[in-house]
Amino acid sequence: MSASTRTVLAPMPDAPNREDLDATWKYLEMGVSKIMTNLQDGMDMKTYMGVYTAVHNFCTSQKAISSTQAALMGSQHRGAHLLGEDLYQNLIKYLTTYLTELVTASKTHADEALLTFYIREWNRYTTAAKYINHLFRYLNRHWVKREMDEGKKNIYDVYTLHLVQWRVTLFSEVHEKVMDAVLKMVEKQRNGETIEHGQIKSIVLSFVSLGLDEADPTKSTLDVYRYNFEKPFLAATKSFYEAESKQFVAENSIVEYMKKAAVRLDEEEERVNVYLHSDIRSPLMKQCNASLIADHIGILRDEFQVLLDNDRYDDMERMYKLLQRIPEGLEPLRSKFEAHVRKAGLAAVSKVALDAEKLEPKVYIDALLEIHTQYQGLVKTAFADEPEFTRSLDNACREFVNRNQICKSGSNKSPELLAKYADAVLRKGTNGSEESDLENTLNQIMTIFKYIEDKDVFQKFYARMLARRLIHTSSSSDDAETSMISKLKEQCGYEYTNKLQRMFQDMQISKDLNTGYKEFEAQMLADSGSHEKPIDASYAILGTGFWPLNAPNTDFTPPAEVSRAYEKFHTYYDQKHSGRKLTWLWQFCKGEVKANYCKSQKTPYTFQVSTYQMAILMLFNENDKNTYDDIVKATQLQGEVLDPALAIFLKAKVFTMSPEGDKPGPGKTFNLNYDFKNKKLRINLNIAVKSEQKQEVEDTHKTIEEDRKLLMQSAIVRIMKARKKMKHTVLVSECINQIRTRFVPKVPDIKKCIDILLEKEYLERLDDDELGYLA
Amino acid sequence: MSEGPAQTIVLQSNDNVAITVERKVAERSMLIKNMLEDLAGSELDSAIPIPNVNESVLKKVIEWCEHHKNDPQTAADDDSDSRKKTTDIEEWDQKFMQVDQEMLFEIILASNYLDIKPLLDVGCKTVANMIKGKSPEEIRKTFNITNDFTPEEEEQIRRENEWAEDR
Amino acid sequence: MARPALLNLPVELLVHIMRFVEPEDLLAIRASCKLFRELCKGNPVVYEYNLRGLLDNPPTAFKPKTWNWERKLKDLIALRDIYGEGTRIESCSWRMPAVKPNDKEQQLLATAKTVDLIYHASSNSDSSANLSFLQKAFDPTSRYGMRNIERYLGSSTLFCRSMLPTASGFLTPAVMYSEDERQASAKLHCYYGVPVTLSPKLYRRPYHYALSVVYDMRNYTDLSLWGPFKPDGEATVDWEKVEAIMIILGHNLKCFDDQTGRRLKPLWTTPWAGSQPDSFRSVCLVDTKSPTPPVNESDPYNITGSWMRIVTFLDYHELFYYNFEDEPEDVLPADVPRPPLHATEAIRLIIMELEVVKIIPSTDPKQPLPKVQFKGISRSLHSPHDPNANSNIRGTVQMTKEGEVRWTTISVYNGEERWKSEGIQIGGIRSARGVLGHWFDRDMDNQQGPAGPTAFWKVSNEVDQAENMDHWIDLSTPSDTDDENAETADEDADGTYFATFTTLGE
Repeated sequence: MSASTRTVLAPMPDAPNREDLDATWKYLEMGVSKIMTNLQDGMDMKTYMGVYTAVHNFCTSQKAISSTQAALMGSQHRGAHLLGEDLYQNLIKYLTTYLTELVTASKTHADEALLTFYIREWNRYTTAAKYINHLFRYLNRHWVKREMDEGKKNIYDVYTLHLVQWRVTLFSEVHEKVMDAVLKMVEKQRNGETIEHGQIKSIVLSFVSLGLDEADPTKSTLDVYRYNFEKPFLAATKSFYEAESKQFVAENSIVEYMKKAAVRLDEEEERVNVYLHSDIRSPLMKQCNASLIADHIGILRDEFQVLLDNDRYDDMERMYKLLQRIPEGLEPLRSKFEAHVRKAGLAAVSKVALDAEKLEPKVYIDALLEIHTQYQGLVKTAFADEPEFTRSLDNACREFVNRNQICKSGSNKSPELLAKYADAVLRKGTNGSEESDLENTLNQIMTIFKYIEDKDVFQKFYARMLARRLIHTSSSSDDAETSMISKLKEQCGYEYTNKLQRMFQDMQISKDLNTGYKEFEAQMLADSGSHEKPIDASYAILGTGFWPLNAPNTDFTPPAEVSRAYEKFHTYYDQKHSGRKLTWLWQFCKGEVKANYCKSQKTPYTFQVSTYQMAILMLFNENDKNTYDDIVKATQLQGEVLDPALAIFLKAKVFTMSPEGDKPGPGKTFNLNYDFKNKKLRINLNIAVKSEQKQEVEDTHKTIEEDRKLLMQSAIVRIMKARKKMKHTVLVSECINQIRTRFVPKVPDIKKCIDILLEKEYLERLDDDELGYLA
Repeated sequence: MSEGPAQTIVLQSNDNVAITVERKVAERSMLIKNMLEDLAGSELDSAIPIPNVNESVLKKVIEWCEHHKNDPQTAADDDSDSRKKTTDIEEWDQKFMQVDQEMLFEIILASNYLDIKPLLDVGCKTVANMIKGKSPEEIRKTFNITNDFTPEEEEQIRRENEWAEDR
Repeated sequence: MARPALLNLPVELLVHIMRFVEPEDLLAIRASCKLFRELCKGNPVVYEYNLRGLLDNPPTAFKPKTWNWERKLKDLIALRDIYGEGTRIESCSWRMPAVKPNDKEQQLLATAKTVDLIYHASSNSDSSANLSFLQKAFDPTSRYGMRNIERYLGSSTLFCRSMLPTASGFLTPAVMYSEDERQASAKLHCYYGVPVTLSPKLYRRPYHYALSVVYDMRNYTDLSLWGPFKPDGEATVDWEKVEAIMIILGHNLKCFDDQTGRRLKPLWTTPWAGSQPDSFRSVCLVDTKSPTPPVNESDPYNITGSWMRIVTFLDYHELFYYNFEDEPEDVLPADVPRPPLHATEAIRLIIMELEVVKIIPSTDPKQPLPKVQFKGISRSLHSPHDPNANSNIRGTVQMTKEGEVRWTTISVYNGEERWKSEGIQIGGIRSARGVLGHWFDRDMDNQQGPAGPTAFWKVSNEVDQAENMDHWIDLSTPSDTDDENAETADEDADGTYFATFTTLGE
């Protein structure tokens, strides 16, 4: 307890008789009226408590029975009902009268003055409502709550009742005029004038407050605001921008119009942020998009080609931003863009394709890349990297990569050139480029690779060239090789790179094998006590299925020294892996021999030679002179291999030939040239012949064709096995579907394969163009 | 309003006695709390008239508010879970409510007027506990109610409380 | 101002006080004087306020237009009298309790009012005041719990038969309780939803008696639609049959759990929970981020989704012997049940993925719910990769004349209908409890079986493509043992026969 001493104060004024409705209401009306009209003069505690108490006393009085209740129950009996309805009804009456007077007063105002009036009165009214709600809290707590619990409609707490009355009595009368004033102000602002936008914000808030959910009085809805504010606002926006844009387009360029439209759109966004309700954002922007963009879509789209032709990146970006705001707005732009890129690509290829035969892979690939880079840049800066534009870019690139002037001479030309380019990049010594540059270049290769349709062609060429790099240890870096393989794997899957990876592994295993063999050989020498120095040889064991290499196309008897060495290796290998058959690929073997015979030289020359050449040279250890037939007999080499090998010796003047002539052949005799001279000490005589390379390309193409036939046939069989019966045309398209990731098969080729399968009786012809599967 | 420590205000009972209380205590009454907020800025130096409550009852109510001044404010007038707490009136409140019936009803009326929902509930629960398990006659005796039913009405009530009708 | 007294308080305060009394006290208050009588008459919310927290406000869909809180108050008092949860009736002299001790009607009254209470319960089993009241009344540790269980859940034929002879000799069920009482007890037991165990001093194990109901082939007839119905051709539920199914499947599930160390997701463990309409709650099967597929609004039964199913069966030799050789037909009168069957069954757990095919509007104005056709697949949990373990399934859901939800399923193997089932969804539409019923050979001419009990309940509105078993079986205590450990069939069962059954699939 805080009060320790008793203080007696002056008595309070008398409250009205609690049982007298008229007296009570008269008292209450005075209080309410004071709050409504004169709150600014302040309110004193006595009045506040007086009004609250009067409401309380009336509601709790036991005899204040309203006339309706009196009729229902015995007159002298106290009521079993809650009291309060009379106060509630009187309050409604009071508010109606008050608001009706306000409506009359509003008639003298218009435009901004009306807004000022409305806002002032609204603020006064709602402030008063909060007070009155508190003063009538006893009514809210009991009578109103009970009515609502019983599910009575149209009963609200006192504050909400104020809002409802405002809406019913005043709002319904003035809202159109208020909106007119609002819209006039907005139009002024759109025309560049400064306005008092706080007023509009107040109006918005007022309209929003008036939304009551009839189904659940504790919730509010935006219905009133949407119907009475948004709807007219959107209509006004529509007519304003329709008129403005029509005139502007007539008087200005499209590029100017786009700038104007973009500014207008930003302004409207800002308008929502500053003084509108966020609910209007979506419909308002939709309306602006329609009037400012969609209505002019034709001329906007027509302008695109012009911008594209002139590389107007900024304007294209502006156009993109405008058109992406409306559904389907960008579609025609994409197809125009696609056609444009394709044309540019074809033109770039034509420029470098003047001499197709001598075309450097790098020149070709660079030409393709340049176009891709240029337009990828455009997509990024102007089109926000939008996926659909990226797809258009991809479509265009795929077109000009696979079908251009170069590819006319052979549809496989792009993958072939790309593989060759890759080879050049990965080969040792071609360019001492930095590792990061190398990685970049590989990525560029992958960029083009992505567009290549005949991925199988690339694979074949790549495999061959990789094999050569590995055998000749001419790769510039193992890291780069693995990086490239993993990129291909990422794109095309495990199966695509399986063999490439195995080739790599074989080389690694061979390295270990050689180390093991060296130890084995040393041990054997020590055991035998021999002092013979063995040939310093290294071996590579290549899995048959994985390498694109064939057995030698000639018989060959290697020199005895070599035979001894490799037989020893054979013994070792058999120990480790019994049951494996080794086939020696002599055509890829090479070695170095020292020429001790040359008179002019103190330090002997070293010849780098193929094994075939070595076998020939070794013959001259016995005789200084050998006839063609002697050589054939000793080496068993066939002419097409032997002749070029001899030709190189002749050309390098290691041998002289008699009788002299242009080509080695039967009847000729070869003499060792003791006077051989060369500037270098190491002389590479193991030179590939041009014609061999060309042959290899043709071979590759041929194997591709063969592989494709097999691929198509197995696809057909697979499909038919699953489906048993199928229409011819359906089978063809299904077949294309299955193979597409490797190459795009031609329909006649598929038909040919079907014919082969019919012949082999895998398939049978049925009626009605159907094919059947024969198990 | 300022947040001075233990700001006090003066209440004036209807028998014109001034009682000084801590504002926080007085604000257990929603009536006083709302009024202080509504009239913020106007003159607050004079006593707040409480025309419906006399000194002794007001002091009793204030005693309760003192004890409960740090209770969390119950937000809404939600009665949905009041059922569960029917019997559990906390011990202090039980003792507090050990008053004669007249004072009990005075407290209920005052807390209802002053809009102190938790006190009103405690009061009503106390009355409810006095009713529980009693026969109509016992209820009459407890609250000094006269049986004003006619014999016909008595008969009707008996029938209403039978079960046969709704089998 | 009048002297403060109870009667002088304003109406709103009197109403407020009446929130806090017990429902029974309201009857006394309104009988004390005219004012209170008028007050209650004039303010029906008095009853509603008083019942808050004691009785759920039913979901709108299941709240009839004629809802009357005063009536519900009396119903609740009646149930409190019956289950002994109200004011102690013996000490209450001024009013008649709803039932007197040994009142023949009390079982019927208890079942009717309890089922009504459940029907109008909140669809959320965890927060329902109605269910909480019943759970307390039947809690064996509470004052009247055990009495209520024995008295109201244990009066069906099955329990009467399982009673040990007392000093006074052996009573036939018909002598102890009427047919209606026995049905009412069985029905209440089904809603209770957990097979109860009664004092072993007085009762034998009910399982064997339940077997004698379910595996008695005389119960599978055209008139009973081969389901748990009375033989009246109208699908009137025979609650004693449903009770037997529940007891058997409950027993088998418990065996399954004990033997495998696994736990089926709690089912038939919480009394009363899930026995009210709309109580099903979908479990999230797929990605928690992906939105749940929309529920088919026009299918009131919420069929589409994943269902767990359990089927048990008897070795066919045993079934045949029990029915056709042990007790020749001419010896056993039609109304005499077969003796308790001491046998063990095999169990199969199955996942059904169902979807609505067609909704056929009702033509019966009294029963507005449609008939819905569905189809789907059913996968065995035992050998999910065996193609024979899986089948197609189709069926219908419709309301019976009585207003029960009737499910018919047919499993189809390679285009051939093999098994059919008939069942009743306990608790009405969209209940969590699910369906209890009979399965039998599709070829009904063959009146010699096989047949057995089955149950299925919904797990999720989704279908889990990943087939993650965790959603169906709690693997928190995994065991290394094989699924087939659940096999409780005899060792020397005919191998080929069981091979066919492994593919029962449905």
